[in-house]
Amino acid sequence: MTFFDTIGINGQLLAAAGAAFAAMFAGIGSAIGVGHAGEAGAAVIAEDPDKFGKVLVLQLLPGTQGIYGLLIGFVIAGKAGLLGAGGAISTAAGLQLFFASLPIAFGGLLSAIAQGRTAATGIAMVGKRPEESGKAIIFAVMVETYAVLSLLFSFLLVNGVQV
Amino acid sequence: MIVPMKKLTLAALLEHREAILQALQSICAVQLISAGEGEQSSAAAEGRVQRLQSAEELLKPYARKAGFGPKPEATRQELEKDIQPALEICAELEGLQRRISQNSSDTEKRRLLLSSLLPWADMTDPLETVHSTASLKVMTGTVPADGVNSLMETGALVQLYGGEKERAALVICRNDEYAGIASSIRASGFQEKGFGDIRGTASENIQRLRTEIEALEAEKAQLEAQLAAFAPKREEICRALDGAAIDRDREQSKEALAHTNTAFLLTGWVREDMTEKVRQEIEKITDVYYLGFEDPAEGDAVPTVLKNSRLIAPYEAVTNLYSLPAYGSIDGTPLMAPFYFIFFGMMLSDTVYGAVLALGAWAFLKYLKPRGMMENLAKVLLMGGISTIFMGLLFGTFAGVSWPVILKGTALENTFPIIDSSANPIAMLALCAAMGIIQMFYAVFIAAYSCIKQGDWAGAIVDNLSWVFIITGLLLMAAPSLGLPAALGTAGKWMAIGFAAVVLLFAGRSKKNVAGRLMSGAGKLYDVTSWLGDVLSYARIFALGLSTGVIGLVLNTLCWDMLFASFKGNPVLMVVGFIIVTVLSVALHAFMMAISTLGCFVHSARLQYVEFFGKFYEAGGKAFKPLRYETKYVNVK
Repeated sequence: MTFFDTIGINGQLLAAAGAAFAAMFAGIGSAIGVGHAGEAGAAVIAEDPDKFGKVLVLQLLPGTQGIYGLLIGFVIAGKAGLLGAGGAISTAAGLQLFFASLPIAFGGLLSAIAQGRTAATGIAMVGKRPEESGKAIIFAVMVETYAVLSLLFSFLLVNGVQV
Repeated sequence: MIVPMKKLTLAALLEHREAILQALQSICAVQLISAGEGEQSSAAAEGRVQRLQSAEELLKPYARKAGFGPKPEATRQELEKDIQPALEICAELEGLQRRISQNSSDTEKRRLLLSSLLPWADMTDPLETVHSTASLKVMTGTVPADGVNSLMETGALVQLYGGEKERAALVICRNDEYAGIASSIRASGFQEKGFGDIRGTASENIQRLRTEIEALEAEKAQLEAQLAAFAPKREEICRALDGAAIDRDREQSKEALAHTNTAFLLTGWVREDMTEKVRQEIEKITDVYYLGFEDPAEGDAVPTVLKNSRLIAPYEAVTNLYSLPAYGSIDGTPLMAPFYFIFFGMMLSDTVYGAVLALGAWAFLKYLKPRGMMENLAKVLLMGGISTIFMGLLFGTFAGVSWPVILKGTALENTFPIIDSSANPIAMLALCAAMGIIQMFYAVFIAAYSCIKQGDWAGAIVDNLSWVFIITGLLLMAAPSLGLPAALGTAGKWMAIGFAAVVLLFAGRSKKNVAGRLMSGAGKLYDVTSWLGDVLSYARIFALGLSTGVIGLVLNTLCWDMLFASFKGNPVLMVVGFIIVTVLSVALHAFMMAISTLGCFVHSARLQYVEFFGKFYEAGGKAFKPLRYETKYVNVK
């Protein structure tokens, strides 16, 4: 009996918390980031609707963290048998899966917000110099690197869990 | 490669200036250097462009949305012929526009008057009879609803009419009392507002204004219908606009030329491979000219033009997105293109996505015939799609379904993918790191080569090649743990230490002071951490490939294993469900493919810019901007 068992928390519950954390926090980050960029985008489009394509690409960039979070959430859920009638997993494995979700949960949350700000500034730049939109994209992608690394590490941790 | 440039000096007779500029504009080979003393002759041409532009914008809301299709083609002469008729259309449009704005301001004026008269509708006296007399002060105006009581208490006779927040009020008092209560009337919020010279009762006037507004609105609708009838002419205006822009550019270029009463002098940059063409074009016009080509001098701001084979040239778009190489340095495009091709494929890593992307890009190129940047980007995506088809087979999936499922029962069942990144992530990570090291060593060799070309052997060895040996040494140190002879590990250790010493002792060779020299050597040695970071950065290839594959799997599971499975049992529902789920999964896959493609495009680019170009590339080239046909709606033949 571990501490968790005594208070009624089993492995599956922990794994579910991990899956929820990954999808939820990364999703919140992306929502904020995409929202930020969208506000900046609307201001630019008000001046020149022809820039919609360029602006949309930039607005889309902070959206990937939400997808990464969903991805890890799904992988955890699959591993813990939460998607169908899976068997019980040990508390230790559940706790491992929970911790494995943290890199993308928080890396995703904060990087998406930061990327949203970068994208918003990039969109303002596109308003003034549309020919430089490629550079604005690159700036935003610099931030995304860390979301990719978080995703990678979350995945490696999930992958290493024995159930 | 970077095209060598020549500085062109041309002197010819002023009477041939127009013809020569037209010829130069048509061959798109010369970027003028401004002498800063030419005539200001482009105002009229610019004015034409402005007029056509406003006409185009005026018609835009009425015109048909442009369908997909390549831009129409025309010759310059055809476009220029269109300018005059289009300007006549412009004049008509401008007249219409003036009438429309006159109409709106008339309507607006009447609406304002109407809204100020509406509260008085119940007052039966003609408005011109409501005025002060010798003994009575008569005022009309408005009072806020919450000021009505205090207005009543002033002692004046108050008659209220309509209005909600602002009540219309008629205030009457004796002239000799007025001075005493004027301030309390004002304090109630009452604002005096007369009727001006309006005659007749309020309701008569309201009736009249309503009729007039109706008439004005009918006129406006008719004017707008007239405007809408011009919509088919928008195409002509667009053509003329392009023609006028070509003229304007040429007129503006005259401002860059120095001239006397009879002759002019033109200086500019021309591609070395175009010099003969320029001479031929001028020969056609006149034989009275001087034409000279010189090599660029030290300190000249020479523009950069890239020239590459057909397969490599599209990747210039990727290079341009970063920065053109400085004139006289190395063009990174052909060096990075193969890496970009491979990395893009490994990141997208889904055979179906690759095939769809390649087909889409091919169709875009074939049917829309884009030019310039868009053409190059489409070609990069076309090649990226082809790369993805193969990389998907080697490392990825088939529309989110893993290869063993697709190839079940065939001889290849256990062959593909050769590395399954979900099952064996460490192998895939190692592969990515290895490719990163290969690309970065390649960058180091390029940097060393350009040092040697300039005779800087110390720079080549100490600043560049040493790192190849240090990193190789460090890697060899891991050899024993992989079951390779221990001697290899020891050799690696000493190799790393030896070349680290070289860096420590010589990296600061420009410093005289021994301590300063060692300090800056140690600082350079610290770069080993950035090498580590750079190698890890290539892990994104694995992560993006993984995310495409896993998301594809998630989509398939959601659509088929969960949604479609829930219809099982009822044959009608299964047929309907099959259709719905098919549409849904295609749409979801298409959306994810678009997002993944964008991600793969920029992340592959980033690896080139930061990890590869960072080690050797000299950015900061200036784009070559020759006098040419710059058009928006029509491609000039």
